[in-house]
Amino acid sequence: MWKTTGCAVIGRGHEKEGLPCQDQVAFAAGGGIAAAVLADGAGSAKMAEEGAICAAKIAANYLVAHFHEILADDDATAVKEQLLATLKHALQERAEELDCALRDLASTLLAVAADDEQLLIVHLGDGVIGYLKEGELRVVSAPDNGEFANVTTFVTSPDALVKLRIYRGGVENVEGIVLMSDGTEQSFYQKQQRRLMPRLVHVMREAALVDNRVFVPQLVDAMTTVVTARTQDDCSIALLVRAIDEENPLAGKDDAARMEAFGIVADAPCARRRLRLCDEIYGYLAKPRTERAICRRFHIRFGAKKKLARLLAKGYIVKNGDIYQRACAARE
Amino acid sequence: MGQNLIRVQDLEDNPTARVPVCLCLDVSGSMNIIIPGTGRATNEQRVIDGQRVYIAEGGVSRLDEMQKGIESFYETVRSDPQAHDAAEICVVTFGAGGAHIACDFAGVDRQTVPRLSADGETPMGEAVNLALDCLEQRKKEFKEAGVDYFQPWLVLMTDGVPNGNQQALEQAITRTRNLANANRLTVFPMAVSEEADLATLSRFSPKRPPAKLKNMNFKDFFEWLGKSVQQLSNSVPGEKPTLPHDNVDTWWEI
Repeated sequence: MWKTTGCAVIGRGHEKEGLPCQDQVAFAAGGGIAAAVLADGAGSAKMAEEGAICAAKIAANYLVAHFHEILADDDATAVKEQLLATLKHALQERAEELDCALRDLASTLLAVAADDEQLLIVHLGDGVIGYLKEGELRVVSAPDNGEFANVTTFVTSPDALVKLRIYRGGVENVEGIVLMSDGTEQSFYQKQQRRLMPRLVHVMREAALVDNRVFVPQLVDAMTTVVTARTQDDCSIALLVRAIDEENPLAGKDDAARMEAFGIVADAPCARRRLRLCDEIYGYLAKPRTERAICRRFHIRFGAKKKLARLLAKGYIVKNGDIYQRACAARE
Repeated sequence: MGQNLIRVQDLEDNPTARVPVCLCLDVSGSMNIIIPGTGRATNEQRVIDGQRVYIAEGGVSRLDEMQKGIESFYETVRSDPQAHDAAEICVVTFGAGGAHIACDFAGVDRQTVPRLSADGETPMGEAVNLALDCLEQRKKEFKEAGVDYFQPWLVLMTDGVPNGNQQALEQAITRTRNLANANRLTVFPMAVSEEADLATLSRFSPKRPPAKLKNMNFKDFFEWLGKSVQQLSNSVPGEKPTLPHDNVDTWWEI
């Protein structure tokens, strides 16, 4: 029921210096559990990118494998200790392979895992975690910067256990969770008001709707062209969103989300009636239909071109000659 | 293609992380001393700021050189787009009339380079206390406005021996040392003449011995300081930037 996606793109600073991207994302799934993880390798660490890859992968697999066990444990400190011990053990092994010190693999860690009922969120260091619930975007975990701009806590830091934050909760009405590194945070997190930029709602809903083969290149392009322009730092984002029913991508969405999808202004007159009509047209297009058939079926007197054009533009339906059909149905 | 997903106008424009630099400068009467070889001494003698000196005609004073140095600091900072947005400079002086804020913290855009004049005694403790107060106030404002900032720098320059309130001096030393020891302040103590009190300067700086400015070369020091602001403001967050104390030896040799 959950879908994971995201990407990490190199920042202007590292590109100029010919250094690798030190932000990394990793995903894991199994047994009805999905996990998305993001790690930002410390700029001061020699093998930061290796550390970030290792930490992200290990954390993703660990959260999926021990999901129920972690959530059932009321001793949060024990949970944190176990997670950090697992990460440090894996990083130590990697350090030996790479012939470097443990601190050379330092990175932050942002993670989310969820099944049908519960979710689990882990945050260590800077970057920000947000969630979308009932159409509202909120911050779960704000950046943990030290006093100064270039200081934060890493998995390998002595105070990691104290600084590690862990959250659990139910998934009811949760549309998705977003994880961002400090580079991406610069564009999507308003530091003064501690709030997230509303465009993330659109990004999360697109992520839920659009196949990763199409969505990820779009995301990479947007991150590279728009988001990296705001910072010298690498930028990464990882999302865990409620997957949309392939047959009817809009079926599980609330009124506000469907109005946004159909391009209906929520406080416009007759918004409810228009939404109902759009829902019905959209449902009717499970099978291929002509505009005439649509107008006849829904008693539309002056043609349905405008409504259909909006659905076409949003990619919910496709047009083939005179025939309209729901996009996902047409793909099969 | 991704422009439909995220557009520039959808993004927050968070302010640039600031680099606060506080210059705490000696403008006591002795800063009017003419640099040897630049003026012509007369036979007239006078005692200024505790030193017996000959009156000179013409020449370039220590203060003139310091003034030029500060100007080149501003110039260096303004010439780099990132440093221009990041730098926050404050100038506190000590001389006649005690400690004085010549220029409070602000972006370099909104500042004019202060014109300094020298006279009077060397109330260094009072000035450092005032500088630290300005810094605390600015940090509070940053926090309220959600502006990130780097570890602040304090440049302390003197050509003499502190002769202000002894209690204020001890307090200033304790405050500065505590901040420096907690990695919350980088201190650059500078002796600009042979008469400068190195023992007191070193008490201000637990991590770095005071440096002696050779041949009154303020310009080189301030250019180096400006370049260091450039480097820090262009560094990638989390990266350990080449801070002044890392490459300070190259400059220390001047």
